[in-house]
Amino acid sequence: MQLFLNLILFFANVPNQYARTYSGISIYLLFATVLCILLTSIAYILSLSSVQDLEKKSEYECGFEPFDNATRLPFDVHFYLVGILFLIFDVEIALLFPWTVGIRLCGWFGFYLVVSFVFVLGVGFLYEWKRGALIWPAKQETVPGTKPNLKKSENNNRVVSAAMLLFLPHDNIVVTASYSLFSSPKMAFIPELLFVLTITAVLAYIAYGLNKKGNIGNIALDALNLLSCCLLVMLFIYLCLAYNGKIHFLFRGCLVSTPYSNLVKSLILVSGLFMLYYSRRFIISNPNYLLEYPLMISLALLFMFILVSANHLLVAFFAIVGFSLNIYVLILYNTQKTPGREATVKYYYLSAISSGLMIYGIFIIFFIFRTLQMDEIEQLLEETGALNKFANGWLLQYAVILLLGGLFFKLGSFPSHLWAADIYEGSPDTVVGFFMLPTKIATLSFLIQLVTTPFSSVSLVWQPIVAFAAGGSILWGCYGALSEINTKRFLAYTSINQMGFLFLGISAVSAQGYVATFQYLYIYAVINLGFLLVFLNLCNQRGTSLRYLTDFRGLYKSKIVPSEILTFVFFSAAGIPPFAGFFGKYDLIEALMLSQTYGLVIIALATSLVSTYYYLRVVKIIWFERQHKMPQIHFSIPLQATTIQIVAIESMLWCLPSASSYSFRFSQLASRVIFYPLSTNLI
Amino acid sequence: LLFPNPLLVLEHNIFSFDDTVNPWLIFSFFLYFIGLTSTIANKTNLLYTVMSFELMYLGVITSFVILGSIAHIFNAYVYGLILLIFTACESAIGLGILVAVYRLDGSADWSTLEDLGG
Repeated sequence: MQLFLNLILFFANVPNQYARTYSGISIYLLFATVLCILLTSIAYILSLSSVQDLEKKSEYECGFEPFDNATRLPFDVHFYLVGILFLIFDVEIALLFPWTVGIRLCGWFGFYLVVSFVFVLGVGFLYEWKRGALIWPAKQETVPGTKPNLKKSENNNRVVSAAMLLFLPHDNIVVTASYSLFSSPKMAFIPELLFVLTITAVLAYIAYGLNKKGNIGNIALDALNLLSCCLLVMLFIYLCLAYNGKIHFLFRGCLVSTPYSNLVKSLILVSGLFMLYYSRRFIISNPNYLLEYPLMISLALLFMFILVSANHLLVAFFAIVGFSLNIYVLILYNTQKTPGREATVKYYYLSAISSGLMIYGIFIIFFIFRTLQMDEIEQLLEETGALNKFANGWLLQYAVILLLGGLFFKLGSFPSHLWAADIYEGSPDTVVGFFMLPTKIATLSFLIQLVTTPFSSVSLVWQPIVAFAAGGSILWGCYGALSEINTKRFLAYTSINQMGFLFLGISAVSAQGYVATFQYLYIYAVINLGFLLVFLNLCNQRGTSLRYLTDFRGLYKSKIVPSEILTFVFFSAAGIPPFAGFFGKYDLIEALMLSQTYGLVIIALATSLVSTYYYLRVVKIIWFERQHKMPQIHFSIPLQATTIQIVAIESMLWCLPSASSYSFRFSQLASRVIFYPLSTNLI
Repeated sequence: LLFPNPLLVLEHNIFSFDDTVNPWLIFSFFLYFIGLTSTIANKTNLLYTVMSFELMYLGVITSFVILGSIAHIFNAYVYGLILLIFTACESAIGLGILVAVYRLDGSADWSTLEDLGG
């Protein structure tokens, strides 16, 4: 054998010192070749072959009758299904390879991680199996699924509602628990872990229910309730962690748990929870089709939590890609088929381009700094006087442009805002809310962390870009909303406008500006939540949602409370003095004045005046126009009215902080917490 | 350690201009650029789009791996691997959308989808 190897190496002109190192792999190659030849020849000898068979002579398509004389005509779409399965499982196996190399170095921790990974994979596979995704060919299901037994699920409903009412206003428990329970760094990761476990459990539960042939509507509602309960517990933990005020680095500094991040997470969680909870009616409408809907929303929320606490650019990128993946599927759930499909394809296309831009920006940053940890990049930049050392900053400038460009897309702000109106129109109503609130809050908080933590000392590089986006999106949102009559498109344009206002505080480059941004972010969330909660509970005589703003005509006649809420919300959004929106805008413009960016101040003031027109137009439609067909409203559960009233109070009484404890606590904590310098805590 | 602590930066492991003209990095930049342009140019079939994304991400992955090899950063290989996985997830979702669109519409061609008009 050794002689043979030496011969091979001699003929291949391999120097002798490599012979020892590569002898192992040569034996392997030789063995593989010999085995292959051996097996093929045995098969050739032993098999019965005939040339007479007509099937064997004809063109071969994998297991099918050949299509259209086997010309290169359109492909069978089943191949793609197999391709997807193959792609996913193949790549997941690839994840195990690094572990096999470092199996001793990882120790038991690595072993448990891999076991949990395989466990989650197994549960997913079980789910896939029981859901019928592996059946070949897939059955065309004409039955729309069984309607849920509502009486049974109403009890669970009441439990969740009671829990929501209990949890939201009471903060004494939070304060006491924060100092006793949540001071160790291990607790910082508990909520996400809990969420992953719950999602896995829900997957297993659905698989079990499908196996038992249970009522599919009840299964979907139970899953929704379970996930809502888990989110409530997580809200409690996040608030505790935010109060506790400690900074914990997790996973070698890839994730960081700060009071700021926990606070933002609680905001994301509350808005996501509302969207999840109010999609109940949507899920009941077609439970078989929408069985995964709550799971998709939960997974997207999980990725958002990771994004908010990311301290590593690649982790942040993965989180962004992760929640985008869920959103593609969520848009496709639209019941009006054609716009839903078009919106999905558009969002997929544009979102993937933007992620492509972002990842190259991240690569350039890695190229410059040789690390992707955000606090380390900040240190490097501060120590070295970055702009001179790193190639006069031009490389860094490209990186920041690419990175911010991708983020601007996800936020739907000026240079890449054109998708927003189309995709809002093509999405289901609850998904529009999901777009407007949790997604944007998470991405904006990451943007704030990006400009405060790694790039705080190079504000010259990013400030013009953010200011450009701010001015552009304020103007464009205002222009678009002026003549818009479609409700969802109107929402899209107003959110573009408000996103511009949020950028104003960032482009002021001052502590006051960031605090003002955060406050306005909270007000933005409350305003849009108020509008969406009314919008999701209203429907026509035919049971469809109010597609056009003119459908709101004469709303005050049928129900007075929602029309009052809408009035508050729109006054607040327009920035009329006693309401919250005024104070938010005032703080932003004050911060801009102090940092002497007067051009943006002029744009903000002018468009703020114009925007009162289109907000008050809706108020006029509600109160002063008449319609014969009254819109109907679904306030079946008293909780919905209560939560809407809470939102209304929040949007109205910003000037009286003691009146609503949550908003006061939020703003107070925000202003205290937002400037935790991360780098001081590094050893 | 499997994941070396990035705080322990090696001495030769700093930014230098020579790396910007490294032929392999330029090669992978071209891969990325071809992917990006073909994504923007081909707005007809969803399958072309998915393949162009693959090419785009492939450019970034090779960039990470090549930078890891020329600057001796072990982390970069792991980044490349993880990036590969997310790329696969993205293209799997893309194929899923393709199948859904195909089933509802009869073709994967999306140049005709113009109802929203934006």
